[in-house]
Amino acid sequence: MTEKQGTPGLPEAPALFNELLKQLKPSEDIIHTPLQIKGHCAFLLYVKTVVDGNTLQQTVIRPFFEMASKESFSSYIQSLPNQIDMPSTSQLLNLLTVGAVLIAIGDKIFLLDFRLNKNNEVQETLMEPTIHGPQKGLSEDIETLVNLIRQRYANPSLKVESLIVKNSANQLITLLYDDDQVDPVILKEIKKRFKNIGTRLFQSAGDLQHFLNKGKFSLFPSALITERPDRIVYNLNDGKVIIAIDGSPDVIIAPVIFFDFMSSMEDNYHIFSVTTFTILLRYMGLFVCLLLPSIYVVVTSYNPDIMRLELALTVAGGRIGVPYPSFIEVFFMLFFVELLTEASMRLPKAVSSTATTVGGLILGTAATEAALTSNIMIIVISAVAISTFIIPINEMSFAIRVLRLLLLVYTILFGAVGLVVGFIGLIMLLVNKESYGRPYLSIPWMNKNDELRMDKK
Amino acid sequence: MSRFLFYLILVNMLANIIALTPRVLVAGNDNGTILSLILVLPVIIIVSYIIISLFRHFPGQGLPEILKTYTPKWIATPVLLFFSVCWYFAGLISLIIYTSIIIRFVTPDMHISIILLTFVLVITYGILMTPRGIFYLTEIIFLIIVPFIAFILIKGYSNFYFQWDYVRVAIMHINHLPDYAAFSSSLYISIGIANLVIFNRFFTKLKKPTWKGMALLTAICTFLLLSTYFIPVGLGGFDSLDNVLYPWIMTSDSMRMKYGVIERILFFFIGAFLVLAVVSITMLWHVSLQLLSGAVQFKRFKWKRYNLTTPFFIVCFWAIAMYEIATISLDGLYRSFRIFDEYFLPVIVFLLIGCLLLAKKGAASKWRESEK
Repeated sequence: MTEKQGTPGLPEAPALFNELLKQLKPSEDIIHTPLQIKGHCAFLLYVKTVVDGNTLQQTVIRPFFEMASKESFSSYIQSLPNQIDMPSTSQLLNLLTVGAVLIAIGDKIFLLDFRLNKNNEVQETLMEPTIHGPQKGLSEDIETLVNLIRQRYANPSLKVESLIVKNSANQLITLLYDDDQVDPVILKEIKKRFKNIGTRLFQSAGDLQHFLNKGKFSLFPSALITERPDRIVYNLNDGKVIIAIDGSPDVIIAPVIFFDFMSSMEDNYHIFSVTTFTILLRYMGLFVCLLLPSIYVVVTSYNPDIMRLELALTVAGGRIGVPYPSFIEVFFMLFFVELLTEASMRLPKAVSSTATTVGGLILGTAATEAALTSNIMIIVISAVAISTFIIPINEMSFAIRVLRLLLLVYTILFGAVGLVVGFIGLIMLLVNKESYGRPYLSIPWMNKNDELRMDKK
Repeated sequence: MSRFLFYLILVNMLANIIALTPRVLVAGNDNGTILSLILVLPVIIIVSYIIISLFRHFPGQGLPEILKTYTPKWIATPVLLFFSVCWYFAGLISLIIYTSIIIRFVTPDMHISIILLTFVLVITYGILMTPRGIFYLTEIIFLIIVPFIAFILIKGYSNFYFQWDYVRVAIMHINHLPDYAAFSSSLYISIGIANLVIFNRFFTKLKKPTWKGMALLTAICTFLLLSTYFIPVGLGGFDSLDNVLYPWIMTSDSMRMKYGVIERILFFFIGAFLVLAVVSITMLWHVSLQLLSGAVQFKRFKWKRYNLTTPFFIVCFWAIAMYEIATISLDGLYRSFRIFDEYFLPVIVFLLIGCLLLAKKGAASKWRESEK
């Protein structure tokens, strides 16, 4: 701690400085230093580790020694672009800890922003890769993030609103929206949710999203988390609100509907026929990974007569020697596939391929040879595992994994009818859900807006 | 015309194709079914038109609100109770029919109360949804199911064994006077628009029925009504269906997909119509529950902050359903279905139109009073 208060020949530092110093004290990186030349002097107070020293030297310290008088220096400081208005004392402390510099010239005190951020590189898109489209995602620094979005969406109607959450880390949250497109009701609703956000600590966008959701036991995500700038711009243009957190490379998009989770940005970059084909493929994948385990239980244990005779015999033949009913078989295999998925997600990249090989290939073959499962079950389970990954947004694919189990339980209890009725139940859950006042699942026809408005009035 | 009005009518119509209506139609085949079918078409179009036009005067309101505001209480409460019971029984009949179909054709080993339990969770959740939710659900179900139904109908008409001669024989009986049972039964399957008594809450700007919409509705209704009767007759023969309780299921089981993974159309058929039935029962019971809680509310019946009236009604719904399903015989089911169609249905239609006219008059006089 550099403290030169006692040096003779120097005027006293302002009272505010002493007060602040007292509060910041036992920290090693607090710098409180006087600048002095020919009778006039200035005081600097900042936290060394978060301030960009070079810029400070260039824009403050050197001009101080070159300027002729105290007045010209203070008017020079006043004209700097990174000057911040003086806030209250408690907030001042927060600002100092993120990179503000306090300068006292005579009895005038200025606050300048010299934030040093080493975390502002733009990241690659990892979670939602596309073949075409931008390869770079967002940044962990919120200013870089807003900059990236502004560069792509050059429109004066794009509004940026920041607020600081009063939790122990004083996190900065920024709302972005297109003022012309956004639905004011939804914007108000989102702001209202932020008001009673409390003092919880957020680690990522996913964490915040979870908190913004009303229901604790919701099965489906009611906001979308993305790292793709093109998806953000696309959604801004649709009148949605983007919520960014300082320090998280993902943003939250709200409100969302079910179909948002089923669309990849790639859909916009291909020709019509290809896009239609991939979308169709995706929905078929959705149905396969949701229904196939339950269908297997139905056609082996409840109604083998549904399938044509040859197929029914093949399935039954494959199960010869399997010592327990089909539902235990399905649970057993699903359990291992889920374990495998979890494991390969959490492991370092170098190890995860080993895990997949051991788990997928060896376990599969050995399980059939040991007559613990039928070989058709292996096909079913791999088809299910693959088609789970076809859902573009991760949260939805996690949700579908859970839903699959619920449907499976319903089918085990009630057979073929249970499968059909349970499926309707799932649609009911989706239809009944709302995301910030918007219906979650509804078929968007041409006059959707008319009908929504008709409904609201 | 809003597309949701079509769903109201079509869900009711399609869900009943598989049920007992074809049985009633076939039973009257040498009597007056054909003329009844022809007669019922203009009737349902006119009734639908009248009901939609009357509900236009009460935007966003269900029957409980309308009656409570514009008619005296001694009319409102009994009428609501009566409607509620009628709607409940309409749903109950569907539920029992489908349960008996399932136990006969899909899972014969299962206990009948377990089959009923399958529906409890889902339908209870469904009837507690908003009208908007139910409409969106219907729409999605429709998109999934309609291809299957179109496939089944095409498969039926294009079947090698489909004999147009049987259809011609059936048409030859046009010279008989209309059969009341067939008339009321086909009126029942096409009266889905009456669900507007609660679902009108969704429509805050119900438009006047357009010519185009009504024409389309007429075309669809005609096609479905005639198919309900002609496909079983054409495939099963004119005389041989006399002893069959579910003509459509027999018919669909006589169709086969030679190269399909699923060989028997029957499973497509039961699956598709089961889905529609669940939606239909959800709609009917939602209406019933809303009418009932519109008529009766126990203010003291509370647990913490929640009023327990609605859950109590739902428990009653299922308790009665459980009892009925355990005791009723197929013959009793058939008879009660006919009693419902022949005696209750006309009363419902006339009472509904009468109430709405009365309410409209009340609204007009209230409006005039406020003018003064």
